[in-house]
Amino acid sequence: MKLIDMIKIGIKEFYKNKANYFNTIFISIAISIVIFCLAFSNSLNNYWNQSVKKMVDYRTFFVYYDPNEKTEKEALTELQSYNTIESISPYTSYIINMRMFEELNNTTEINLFLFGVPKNTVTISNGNNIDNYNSSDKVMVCPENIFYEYKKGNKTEKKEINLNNLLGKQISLKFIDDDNKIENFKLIGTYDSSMRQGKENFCYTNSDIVTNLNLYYQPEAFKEEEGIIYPLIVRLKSTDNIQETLKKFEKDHFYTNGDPVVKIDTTIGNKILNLITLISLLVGIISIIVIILISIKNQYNQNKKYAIFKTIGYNRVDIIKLQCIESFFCILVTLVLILIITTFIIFVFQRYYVNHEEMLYGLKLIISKFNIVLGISFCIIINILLALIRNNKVKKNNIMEELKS
Amino acid sequence: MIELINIQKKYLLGNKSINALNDISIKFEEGKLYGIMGESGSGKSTLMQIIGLLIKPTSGILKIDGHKTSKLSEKNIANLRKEKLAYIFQSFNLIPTMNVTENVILPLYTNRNLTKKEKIERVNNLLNSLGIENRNKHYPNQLSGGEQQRVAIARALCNNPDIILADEPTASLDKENSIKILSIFKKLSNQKKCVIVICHDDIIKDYADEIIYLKNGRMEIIDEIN
Repeated sequence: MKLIDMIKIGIKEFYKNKANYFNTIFISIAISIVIFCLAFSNSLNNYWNQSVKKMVDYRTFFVYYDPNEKTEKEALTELQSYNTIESISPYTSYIINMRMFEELNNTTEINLFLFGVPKNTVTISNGNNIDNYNSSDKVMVCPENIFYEYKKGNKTEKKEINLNNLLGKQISLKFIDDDNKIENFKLIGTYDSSMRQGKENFCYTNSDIVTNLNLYYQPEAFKEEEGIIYPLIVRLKSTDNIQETLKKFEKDHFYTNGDPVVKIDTTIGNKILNLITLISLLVGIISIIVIILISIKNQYNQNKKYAIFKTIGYNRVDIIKLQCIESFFCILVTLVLILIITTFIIFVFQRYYVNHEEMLYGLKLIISKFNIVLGISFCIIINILLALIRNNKVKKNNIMEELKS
Repeated sequence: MIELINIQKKYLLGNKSINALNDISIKFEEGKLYGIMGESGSGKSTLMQIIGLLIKPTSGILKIDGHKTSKLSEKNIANLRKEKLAYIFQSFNLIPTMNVTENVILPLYTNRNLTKKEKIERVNNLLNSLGIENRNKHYPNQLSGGEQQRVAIARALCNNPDIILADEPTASLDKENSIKILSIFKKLSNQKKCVIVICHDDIIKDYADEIIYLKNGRMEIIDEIN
């Protein structure tokens, strides 16, 4: 039998057989959801891993000591001996909440958190780092895109604006609770905004600057009182050293809650992931059941058809070739549908959910090559299994029994 | 052309063994139209299915053109069905998803000796000779019983077989169509084909050269009519 004739019959049998439509649609939807689930999982893990590597605060811990056991000086000396610690700063140097008082696109409120750091912390994408300046210089490094809030009806929305055109310029800041004094900072560098988690504006300056600001604007918050112990801000050299350092803290009678000061909030991501995994499992199981039931029902029609083929001189090999061609078109159409459905799901999810979810800010859903290969393999395997089941039936079936069925 | 020697066919129904055919020995020659008659359950269809290589006898020898069919491989049996044998069913057994032309040309896809043009020409000639050329794009569910049977005959004749087996071809047809069909078979037998027809209707006696009567799986009489 010529290949072209087989293809003609195969194509015709493919689109005339309604069972093929059901199979391809179900398999496409099931595999698309599975691929989406895998893509989301991979993208999320990547997102968290990249964030951990780049954001300094994920290796910053509040470390407490018992003042009855050691003085602050003794605690500092002991911690300075750790080879996994990069810097130790007093609590007053950690953070202060400021407002940006620069007119940018007629905005009203740009809140930012100013973190004090002893030296280079984030990877700068434009400009310079604070290492190049004295500890008393009022310089700061901010994200490339900064969020500002505005009212939209009853809701507060956040929008981004780019700061790169303000590089090298003075920016006026005010303390969050003070309308009078202006603090001028020079914007010396910006970093990749997607490296922060959420939509908060994290800027960095020298530790001493933050200490001075805190003692000026809110000294009562750091007043030494009985019963209140202020932690030391300890930054580790790398997130790889966390567990080792926490064990040593415990041994040396330092106390920490075990979590970095700003940790990655994986709650929402995990919830979404669990939900998607559950949905994909359910869809997968239901699809397989439906496909099997449809295939069993369809098999009776197929058996009779191929019995007729046998009576007019087709041998088993001819029939198997025809079935393979029909399966091939099933696979082809399924793959095209998978491509369309998966792209659509990812587009909708990214645009209408991820882009609006603060805790997933900067997450980009990407289908990896592995996911694509997995999806294609799964699709081919299912269709080959169905073809093998059919082939087995063709081999075993008795012509007259099938014609009478 | 076809020779049956001591053919037996038994079916198992639970623990009981039923003899569908008992000790059938007969020869069929080319250029003749044979009618097989008998009551329901007499073994007519079983005999036809054995000759058509659709089922195997329990014992006995079937020879086609001098070759024992029991020694043939599955591939060779398929080739025999393709080149020598044609089977026409009572229930037509057309492919419902293919139109008349596609149904008729189906056996020709396995024929490598003809070009595409020759195949189409042969199909058109067959449809013309059977008077259904104007229904070539119709699907089986759009045809009458008589038309469907003629399509089945056209499909059977596509590869120019030497042996034509028809199992109750007129059972679903009115008298006029039955006569048309039997006339076609008679013409074929005149073209040196061996035509074997199962028929309940006595009308077969007007066309057949020999009538074989079966009763309880055994041959009762062979009537040489013409």
